[in-house]
Amino acid sequence: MAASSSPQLLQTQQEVVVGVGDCRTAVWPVSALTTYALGSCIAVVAWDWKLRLGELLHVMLPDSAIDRTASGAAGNPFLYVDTGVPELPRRLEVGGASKSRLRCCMAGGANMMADSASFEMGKRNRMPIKKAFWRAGIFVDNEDVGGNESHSVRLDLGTGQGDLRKGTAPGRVLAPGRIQVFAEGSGR
Amino acid sequence: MNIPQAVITEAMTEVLETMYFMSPIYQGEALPEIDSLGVSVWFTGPIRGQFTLRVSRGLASRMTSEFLACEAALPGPGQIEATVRELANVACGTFMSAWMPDENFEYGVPVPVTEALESFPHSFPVGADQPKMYLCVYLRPPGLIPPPFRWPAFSGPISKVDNGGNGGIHA
Amino acid sequence: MTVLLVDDSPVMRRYVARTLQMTGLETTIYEAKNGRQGMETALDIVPDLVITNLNMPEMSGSELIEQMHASTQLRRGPPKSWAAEPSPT
Repeated sequence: MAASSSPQLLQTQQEVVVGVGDCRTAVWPVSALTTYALGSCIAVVAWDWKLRLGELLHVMLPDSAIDRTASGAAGNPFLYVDTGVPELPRRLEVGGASKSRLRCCMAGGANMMADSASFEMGKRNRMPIKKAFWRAGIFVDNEDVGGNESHSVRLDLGTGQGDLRKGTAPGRVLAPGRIQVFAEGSGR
Repeated sequence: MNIPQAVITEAMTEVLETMYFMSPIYQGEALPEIDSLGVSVWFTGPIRGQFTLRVSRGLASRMTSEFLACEAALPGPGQIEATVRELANVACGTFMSAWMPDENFEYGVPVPVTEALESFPHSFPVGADQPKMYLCVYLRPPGLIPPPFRWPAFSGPISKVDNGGNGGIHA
Repeated sequence: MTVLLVDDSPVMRRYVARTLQMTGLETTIYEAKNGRQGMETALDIVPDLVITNLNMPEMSGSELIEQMHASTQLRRGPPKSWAAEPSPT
């Protein structure tokens, strides 16, 4: 999956679906950014409340050192936390977002392996993301990381409301929830 | 007195992950010789003791860079020592609260130590990547423990200073 | 919002200041390295929020809070404090 060097600001589609190892930026009146079946992957969501500009990153692995070839991190930095997360604020700023207005959250990082105690890929993804945001000076307002179920995340670009769903089958919602991060038209 | 390994490991994990973005891995009780910084925090309460932390210098530098969000080459010796003192401060409280949650303790200020780890009976290392970090909790008989060092109590009211020379640092 | 950070550890002051700035709140942050300096600064700037360590030289955080509460210039109601202290008592 080829990665774009600069974000394509989507403005005409109703809802944008973000796949594995992908990052999409969109602005209202695009209705939402959505990603499904996170598993051990983590979705990182950011929203500028004034511009109603949002970004969703679906990152898979923590460290790009395992594959810096063109088919790996060099071709698609959004596969890895260490190459993908630093791109997020840069892309948002290209779109005119302000770091001080950003509201961020992350979800996913489930332990999907049977022998989860030894693998813990979800946990291994979470810490580098927190570190990357700390280094970038961006506050992670909320997170829902862990567990044993795959997550789906939807960011409403008009309100900034994040919806979190847990379940492994399409259309099957086990415990619908909400990332209570963004209030409608919120700002501080 | 037996100190539960799980309690101290969980306490250190919480502190290291939250403040320094590192995950400690229990490595066993071998204590190799390493160039390190040692900090102790005395505590008194239902029991008295000394919580001692020893951190290899390379790891201390890396932890400082994570804590302050700067590159590893930038932290100065003063910042590194201050970071290790804060680590000991927070780790001691986290551990004691987890170990004896229903008890209240008083704590001293973190102070540098140079005693060899071999003299501390309840020591076990918590390795966080490379190089290793070692953690010791040492409980001495009550009669041999000095009272924890605390800053003397301040007395007298403070009035506004007109010269502005000692005002706060405007960040 | 005017914030006063009081801690004898410069790395902790920097850590807390950075965290406050990351929240996106519009803040003006002042620092003091002990309770005495904190009180002097507080009388000067009259902060909206004070974040203080408890165990410090030249006046502890507890003493600082007492002095601030006793000050007619600074008192704005019961102090609500949380501080850098080993035990969350």
